[in-house]
Amino acid sequence: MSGATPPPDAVGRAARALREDPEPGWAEVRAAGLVRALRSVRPSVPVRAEAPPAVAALTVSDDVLQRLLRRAVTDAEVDVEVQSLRCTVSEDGDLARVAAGVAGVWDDDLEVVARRVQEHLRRRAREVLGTAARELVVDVTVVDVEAPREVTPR
Amino acid sequence: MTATDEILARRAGLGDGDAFAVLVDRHGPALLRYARRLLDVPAEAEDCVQDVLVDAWKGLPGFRYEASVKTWLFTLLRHRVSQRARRVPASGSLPHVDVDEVAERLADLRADPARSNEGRALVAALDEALRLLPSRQRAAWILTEVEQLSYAETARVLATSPTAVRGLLERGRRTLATALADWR
Repeated sequence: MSGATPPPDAVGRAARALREDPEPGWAEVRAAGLVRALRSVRPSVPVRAEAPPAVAALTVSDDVLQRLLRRAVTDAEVDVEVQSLRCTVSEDGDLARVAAGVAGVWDDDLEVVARRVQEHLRRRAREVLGTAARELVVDVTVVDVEAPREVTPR
Repeated sequence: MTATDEILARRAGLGDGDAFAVLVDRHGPALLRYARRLLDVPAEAEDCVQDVLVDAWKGLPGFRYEASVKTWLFTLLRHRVSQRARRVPASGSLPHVDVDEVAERLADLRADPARSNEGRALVAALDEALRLLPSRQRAAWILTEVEQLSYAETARVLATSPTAVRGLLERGRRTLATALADWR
């Protein structure tokens, strides 16, 4: 319920006019704000990756890892929405567990979908982290079921 | 089907910049509208909104969905606006503008024969009248009457109770109705 009660005429008209008026200069603020936001670094935890022979140590931020893992699922499964993705890092900095919450669609076999998602996550983690992800546990929970997406005929 | 704010926020929380841009398009103009009316210097309002976009991008992975995305964004903005609005009395009990000056400008706007757009002139008059409100009344009025948040959502943004919001609104509406009486 909106808390707004019918205001006096002129004030109500003014509120509506203000709401409906385009905000001048928004395009510039949007462009600059988006660039600043997307370039900013989110708080993250370093995750140990297998280092090439000449490199002493290699880490990947868990924020970057999450993006890569989510992409691995959404690129492979058009009907799956990743709703949550949590990486647990051990005291040694190894990726110990990935817990994903996904939404599937009604007429899919959700157990099969969950196993495929599990495999996408495991494979991508190993591609990025190499042998450092050897002991990785991947949990996938189907947290929601949605209607199949409409496909527009070409 | 249009993705809900919550779905977009979850995607953005997992690093999807395109989903974040959709959220920004959906709520950004309202954030700028609010900031411009709470801060007197336009450049400060614009910087403030940009800061909020950065705060939101960084904060989305930890967002708990206890409030709507819109309410959360306005809460981030309220914090940023408060940081910049040091000159406004902390109690919000007194307006920081010359009442006579505002009344004069309102009369000028009303009498201007060159007004070609009634809506635009009314918004200009409203902007003058809003300056008469202490910042918390102004914020409460904009959030409920312009941005159509509920009392509970407005209370959450302003870190107060719905009862207090009701009081702020009553006083704010009375002042605005008086200031815009000639526009009926």
